[in-house]
Amino acid sequence: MGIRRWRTAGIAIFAVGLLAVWASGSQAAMKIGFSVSTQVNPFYKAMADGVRDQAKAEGMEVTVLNAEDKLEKQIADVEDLIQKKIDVLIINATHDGAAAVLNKAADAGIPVITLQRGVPGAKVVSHIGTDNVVIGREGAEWVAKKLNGKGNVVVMEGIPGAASSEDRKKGSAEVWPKYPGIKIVAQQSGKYDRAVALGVMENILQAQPQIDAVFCFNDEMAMGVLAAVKAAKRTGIPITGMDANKDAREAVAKGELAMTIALPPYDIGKTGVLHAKWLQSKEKPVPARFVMPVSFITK
Amino acid sequence: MFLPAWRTAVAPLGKRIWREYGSLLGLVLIGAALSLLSDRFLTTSNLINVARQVSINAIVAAGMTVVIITGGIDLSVGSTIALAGCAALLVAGPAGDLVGMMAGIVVGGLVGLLNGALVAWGRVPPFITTLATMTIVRGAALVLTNGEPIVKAQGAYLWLGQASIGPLPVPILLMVIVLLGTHWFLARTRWGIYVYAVGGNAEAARLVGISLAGVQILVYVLGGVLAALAGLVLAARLSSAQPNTGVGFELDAIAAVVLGGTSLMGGEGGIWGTTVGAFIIGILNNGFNLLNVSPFYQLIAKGAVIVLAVLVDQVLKAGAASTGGEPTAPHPQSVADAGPAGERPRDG
Repeated sequence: MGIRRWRTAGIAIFAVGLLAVWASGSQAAMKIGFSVSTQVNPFYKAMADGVRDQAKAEGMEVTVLNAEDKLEKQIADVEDLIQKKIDVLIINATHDGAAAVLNKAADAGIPVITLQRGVPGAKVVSHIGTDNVVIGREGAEWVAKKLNGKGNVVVMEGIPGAASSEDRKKGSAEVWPKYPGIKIVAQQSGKYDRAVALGVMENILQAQPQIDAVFCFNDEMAMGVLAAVKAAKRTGIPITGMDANKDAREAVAKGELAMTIALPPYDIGKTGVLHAKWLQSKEKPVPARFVMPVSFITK
Repeated sequence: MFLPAWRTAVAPLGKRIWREYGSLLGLVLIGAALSLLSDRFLTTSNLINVARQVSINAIVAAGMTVVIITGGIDLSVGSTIALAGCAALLVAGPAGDLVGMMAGIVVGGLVGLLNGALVAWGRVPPFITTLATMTIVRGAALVLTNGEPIVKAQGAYLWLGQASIGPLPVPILLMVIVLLGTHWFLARTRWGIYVYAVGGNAEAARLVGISLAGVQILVYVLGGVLAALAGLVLAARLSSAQPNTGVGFELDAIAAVVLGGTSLMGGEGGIWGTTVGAFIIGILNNGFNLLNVSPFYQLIAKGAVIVLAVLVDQVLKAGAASTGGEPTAPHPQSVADAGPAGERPRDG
């Protein structure tokens, strides 16, 4: 008796579920999935917001899954999205190792768009992002020009071996030899972390009596460097960041940071959704590689 | 009967230094090498700078030492640093700096209570418990702040990180107070002895009537509170709190504890060794920056020094044991013999 009642209830719930699926399907809303590497960093939060907002504006059904910086979770997330039969997969990969599961999606007939981090070896129809080599190069040029080609520069790198940090290093390293008056007195890693950069800069301040500029590979470290320089009561040292986070922008407005480079994570997310739409509607051709422009923010 | 446990726990400073000879030797050798390599290393301002940087790790590591002596581990401290700093600054906004600081400390204590309750009553292994709370607490910090840093550019709160009393920055004074306080707790109180007893042989400790749950909850709460204090100091130093700060800080704290000769198996170790361990890590980081060592090589060198220091320590300990030196750990049975009432140990 009890079992039969439960079974009836189960069948009823299943039927309602089927109806719900059919009803949502009948609106023919385009279904996209976005697998994002992390939501700890404001940059990737803004990227996910861009995806959500644009998808809402286009009337799409969007599923955003956070890989929490773990490749295994990202692979499982993408497999789930394939099972959900999404129309387009947008991914901000944690690691090159995502290639296999991206090809699995492509083989299942789901076009793949990568955001910010390219995945070598994956069948990708479109990549959207900034180019960190270009950012490193343009940032270093800005610093060199600010110093009129002469002075002692401290370079604060990100996480050793991280692609973004190594690319920014590569870009900036192309610039310094062009200015013989510029001397890199210290090039250390602040691990993209405010607290770590604070300690590293305090140590560098101990070693270097003359510092004319500090070039940081992200804003978090620039804010840590700023705290160290302020505490040491050293003045007249321009500090630059990258990413244009909220408090870095405020520090630039107050004249505490000299410059930050605005990457457009929100626009990268939006553009990803636009490309997904164009893939289906064919209203515009989708470029295989789209480099988002960056801008300098100064007072 | 009580003597062995008692003597190891509160051996005079001289013997203590001798017991931690390995790590202290390491500290002195690295310090000497850095003095030769950089003329900026052995200056008053740099040494104060190093001590100020070490303070945050040392405060966390003091709590970690107590947890590890019970045979536990606390992986959640890095997240607690972030959550406590954020909570303190959020509350300080409307309620004032002092209430904010207390709120931060309370939050740390609550995280510790959760850890302790799960370990003691839930019987979840400490590694699993704190691995889980590490992500839960990190998530809570992100939810609380919506992922954005909280800036506090002025106020009495900043005193905690940026002021000095005489020539000594406040973080260093706090570190000294915390280290002396935890040392006193471990060496001079009945509960301190229980901590060693539980780590040495939990079953024996339970049989003589020591409250296992009581000790475990106490040590995790202590660990959480000290991590929170470190979080407050860090936020004050940076004039802001980040929900994503403190990632990996638990590893630096564990490294300091292990470098200091405390066994991850529990039952032995102490604050003096942890202090030396924290300073080894501190002067290494300082030296790398002074000498502008490539970040790639820093990773290799740091790991190598940790392995080397522990190896030297092992060799010295083995030597001490074969020549019939003092036991390096209080024997749980001797604690058990003393009975649960544990009359206050007297110097003998």
